[in-house]
Amino acid sequence: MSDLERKLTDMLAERADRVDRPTSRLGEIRSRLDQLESSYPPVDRRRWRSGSRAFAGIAAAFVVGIGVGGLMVMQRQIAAPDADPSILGQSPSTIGDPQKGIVTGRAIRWAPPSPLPDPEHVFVAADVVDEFGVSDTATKRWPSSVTVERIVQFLDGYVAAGTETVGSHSFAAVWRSADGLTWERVETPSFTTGTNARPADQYGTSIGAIAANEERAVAIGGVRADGATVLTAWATTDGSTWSSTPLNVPPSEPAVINADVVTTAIGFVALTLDAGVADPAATSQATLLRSADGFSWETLPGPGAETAGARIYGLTTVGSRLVAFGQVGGSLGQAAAWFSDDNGTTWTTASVTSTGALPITTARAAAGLPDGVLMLGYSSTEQPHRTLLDGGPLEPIGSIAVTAWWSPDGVHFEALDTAPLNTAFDVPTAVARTQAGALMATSRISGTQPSTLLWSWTLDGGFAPLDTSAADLQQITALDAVRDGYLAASRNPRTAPNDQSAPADTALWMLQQR
Amino acid sequence: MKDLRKRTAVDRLCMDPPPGDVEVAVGQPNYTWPGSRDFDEFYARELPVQLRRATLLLGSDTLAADVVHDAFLAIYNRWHAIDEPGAYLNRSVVNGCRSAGRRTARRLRALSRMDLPSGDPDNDVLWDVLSHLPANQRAAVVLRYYAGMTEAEIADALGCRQGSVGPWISRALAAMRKELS
Repeated sequence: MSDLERKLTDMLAERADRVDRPTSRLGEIRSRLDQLESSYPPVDRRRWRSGSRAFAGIAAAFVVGIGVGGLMVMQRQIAAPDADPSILGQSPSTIGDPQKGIVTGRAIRWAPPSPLPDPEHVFVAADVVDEFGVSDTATKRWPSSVTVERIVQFLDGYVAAGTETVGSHSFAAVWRSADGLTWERVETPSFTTGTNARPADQYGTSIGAIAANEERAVAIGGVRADGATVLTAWATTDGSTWSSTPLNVPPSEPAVINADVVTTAIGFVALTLDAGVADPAATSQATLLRSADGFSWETLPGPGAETAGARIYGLTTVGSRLVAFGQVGGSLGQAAAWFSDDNGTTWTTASVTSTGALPITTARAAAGLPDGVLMLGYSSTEQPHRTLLDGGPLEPIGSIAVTAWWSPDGVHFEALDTAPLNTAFDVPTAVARTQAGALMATSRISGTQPSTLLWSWTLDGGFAPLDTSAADLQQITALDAVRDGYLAASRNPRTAPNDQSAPADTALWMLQQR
Repeated sequence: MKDLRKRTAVDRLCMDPPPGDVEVAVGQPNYTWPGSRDFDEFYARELPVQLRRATLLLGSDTLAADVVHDAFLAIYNRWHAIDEPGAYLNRSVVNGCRSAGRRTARRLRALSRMDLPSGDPDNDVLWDVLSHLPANQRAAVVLRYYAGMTEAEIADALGCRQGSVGPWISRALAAMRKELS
């Protein structure tokens, strides 16, 4: 045994000794299953039918008016905080059909108008409903939870994609909505009966990203099968019938495989996301995949292979130009971006200006439109914070700050002033853009669990906080621009597993510009 | 009192109900599956072991407690149908840790630096380096040097080929040496 191996053994033993004596939850295990048995009506997943057996999984809607310099010319329909919520065509309180198992609960909540940045923006909330059509409390309970990864506009409505977890099993899942308010689970047999799928396996299937153009939608995810996770694409032309295609991406070992996907003029381009390596000298193993139809895929090397310690965290577009972003120099390196003008055949490193004094920077999210791309990340000291055992508060021992860059072309990224964002330990989690500006979510790391804040952004006005006092946003997992504004999904990460009165898990929100 | 085995909602949802009906005694203070192992004893023996292991894999005892609890809940539900509950639990916990780690990494990547309390400074550095390894390499290292598992046992826990484990550990040690130097 080498010296390093001895040190490793000692260190791991020392760390393990710090774990407190565990508290038995044996009684909870028994009672929880009893509760499930008594609470859930008999449901056979295999007999679900789209439309007739409505998925009652998630329906929550929020409306926020974000005045953005009059760029969106929409008639003002809300004049006061107690205005009629029928502006959405249907009050959230009337959403739901007991015959379909959709249940609504809480009354509509109105937030007081926020003085900044727009006195007109108002929240409207509908309730969270549970997939099993029992009550809004069901998603609080083990073992079911839902995570929405992305929401896109498709055909005449919207499609949300993500993963439903039931115990140790996961199921790729898709929901559809015509208006962003009521959502219905789409039956997706190909998600569990594909060539490689073994739904009884530990992981099952999951979706990490989805993109759609005018003709079809493509979701990318993983299928756990025979000891390996196979990166898989699912494609549809109608939103209801999906076909799966295993993708030729090494390795086929049980690595966690994620990918981002965007639409381009040639169809769809996906890029595997590298969780990173500790070795700054290691090169990226990113793989690029492109397809015209979502069924037949071409595999190419991804960007960053020539750069030491490259880590790819996402993919976006600026017009016809592809832009990948991440970090170079390993986990303690610098933010980086790459662009391609030939749909990913060749890549060039973009210039990214420095953001300040903190030594480590990374780019984690970006949203591009033809007029430019907003890229977000954070800079930090080597160890910005640590946590204590027993769910104690996070203890700051260094510094961390949100960083942002703007590029009109995806080639040169200039750092933006992010002073309004950095009043505490905030890190960006999601961003989406419209022609009028951008909306971003940050997670504030303080106390025992992070809290989510929303910010608006315009190139001229910079960042400004939105009033989210009426919203129980929890943790934003998806934020995407749609025709009328933004759709977002949030999820409570169940940080208090013993607390059955904790807030409901997953919600979808509509954030509307006017 | 004898009754048919209770089929729970979990059974129905997982689409792989255990074959056949199994008789089971219910309503007892500590009911056990006839002719099989005692779950209470198994739980008491394995809980501290799995909790420590999961904490080392995730870097968070709060997340670890959640993962281990979920694994026990799953195994309890299928207790009678599992031949080797220890191996099954190992796989469930390791896979649960990887899944939880993936979710944490994707949602709040800044939190990936969450750490256990500081002790020996050298150990802190080593822990930090370990925490930045890819998930498979980190899991293999923890299972090898903390749990003392053989490569075959690690492969079983990770659900991979045995031939993959050695290279993962070698690459992990090489990367750690490079970082530490």
